[in-house]
Amino acid sequence: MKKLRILSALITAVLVISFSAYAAPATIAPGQTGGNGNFIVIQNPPTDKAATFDKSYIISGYGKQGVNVYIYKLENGTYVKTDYSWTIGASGMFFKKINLTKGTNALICYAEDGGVSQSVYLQITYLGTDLTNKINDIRIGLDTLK
Amino acid sequence: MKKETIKNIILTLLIVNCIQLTGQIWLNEKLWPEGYDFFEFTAQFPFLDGIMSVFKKVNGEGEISDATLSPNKVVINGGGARIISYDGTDTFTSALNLVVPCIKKIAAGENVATDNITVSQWQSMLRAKSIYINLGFETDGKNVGDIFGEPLGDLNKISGADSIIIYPELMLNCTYVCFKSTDSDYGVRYTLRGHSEQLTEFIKQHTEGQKNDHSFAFELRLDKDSQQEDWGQRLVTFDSDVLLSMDNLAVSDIEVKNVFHDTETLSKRADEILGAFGYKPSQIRKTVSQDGVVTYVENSATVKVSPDGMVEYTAIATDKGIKVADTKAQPSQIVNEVLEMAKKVISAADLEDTIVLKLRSPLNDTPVFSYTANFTRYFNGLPVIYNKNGATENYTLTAQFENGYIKSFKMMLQTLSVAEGKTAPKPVLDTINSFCETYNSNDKITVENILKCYYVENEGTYKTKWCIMYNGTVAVPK
Repeated sequence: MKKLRILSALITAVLVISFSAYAAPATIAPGQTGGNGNFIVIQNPPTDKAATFDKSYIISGYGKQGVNVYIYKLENGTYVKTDYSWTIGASGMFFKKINLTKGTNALICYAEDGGVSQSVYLQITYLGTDLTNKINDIRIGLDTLK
Repeated sequence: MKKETIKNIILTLLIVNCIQLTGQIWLNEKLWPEGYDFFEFTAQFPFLDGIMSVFKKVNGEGEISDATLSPNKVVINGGGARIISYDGTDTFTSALNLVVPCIKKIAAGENVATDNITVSQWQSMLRAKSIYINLGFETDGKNVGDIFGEPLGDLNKISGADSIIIYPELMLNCTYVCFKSTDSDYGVRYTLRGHSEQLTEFIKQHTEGQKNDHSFAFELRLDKDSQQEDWGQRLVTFDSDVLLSMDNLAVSDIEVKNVFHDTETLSKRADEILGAFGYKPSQIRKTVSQDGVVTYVENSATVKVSPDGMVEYTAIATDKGIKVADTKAQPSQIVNEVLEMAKKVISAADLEDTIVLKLRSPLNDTPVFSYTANFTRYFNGLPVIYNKNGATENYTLTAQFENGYIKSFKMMLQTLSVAEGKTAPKPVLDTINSFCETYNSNDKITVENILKCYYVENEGTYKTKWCIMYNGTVAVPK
């Protein structure tokens, strides 16, 4: 009976550690190198930088079926996991609408499969809905990209 | 003249008439000209019509709406936000009303320029403030006016056009009207003076404050083939103009009822429907199968009326069909003939509904020997697609024209009404994934359209779903 309990505890511990290792982290430090996975290709935006006059942006792409994808956003110097996440289905494609804040939105598309990860860095700037906002309120500078 | 003589004359005439009528029946000759209706003849004489109205058969007042050539949808692009409107809504009607004066001017030769445009120019206009009209079928310049419900003249540069963009260029105070046309590299653009302010105001009014919930496939770059990756290659791409919706709007459910409530009604109505094809029950052998299908077999054709509402006419050979033209006919003429037959069937089936049938076959003015006229029924602005014993049928009405004859005619009759509930279909990406899960092939497919529909079978209440159109077929994933 005692051996059975120890065995059960060991199995549980292994499972917990495994899942913990595979779960996406709550935060990612800027400059932290992405994993060496190759699971997703981002189609929209076509490059790592984009700008829009809309409050939302649709990130699209394709990837390996079954891969989990999470969106991280830079806040106070750290990339924090947002509520946007999905699992790539049988079609291999994805498109997700995400809401933007005014100004530069520094994002990471984090794909994970079986403990291996891939990070794709994106920067989407919300320019506001009128020219005045664009000129007066929004400052797009290199310091916001750090 | 003696009474006896008069009696003899009358009797003789009756006997001769009887013999002559019998001769005509035996020789399979119709007793009166095509389209002759005794009751229409008597209607010209009010006194006679009053008497005959006692005997007049009263059929249903159901009819086909005049929206057969009405566009599939109108998309108002606000340069970010975008809304889709369907037939039957005020926005749809208002948008088309704005377009009509522009088309009239083009047909009258008042455009200041005409040129061809490329795909990137077409897509730039879709990204900006514009009105996009998806017709749902291909048409040529002569029939464009029919789409808008009035004669607008001949736009002779247009051929195989299935969509239109109206783009107001406010700064230059001009308007571009573009047709996606198979005649040119991608499209034909007509430039008109004016209209830009009115159009811009209309677009602003309808898109300001709206969300960006709809994207064309080219905007998301999902119309491009993917490279071979470590995990394989993506099988599904989209046509550039496929609109992918991310809204979660609930749409009314619909209730479906069979037209024929019992075998007696079916039998009676089947006899009336037979008349729509030019036959009389007394002329034809009638049988009823175990599953209730009423079948009429005649030397030249078979007519079947099923309990679920399916009406089928099939000629045994092309030249035994229903003659509508010499040998060739213009598709527009064929479409009109088929719709006339459909109207008679609807009336004979005693339907009271106004049925919206939209053409889904190419429409042009080049006479053809062979043509298939396909129509999809629309209800509440959405197409109705049928699940017939596991197979998906996109068309409510299909007729085959060959060498001057309607060789076959197939139409589904059902009564549709709005049900109490409302449902939002599952996300479009989930639908695409479900489709791929059951798609048993490694062949790449290009999705031609993905749209909300009602997928119906028998009687019951049905919620809206997404349907995927590819390679000329339709799939409605669970």
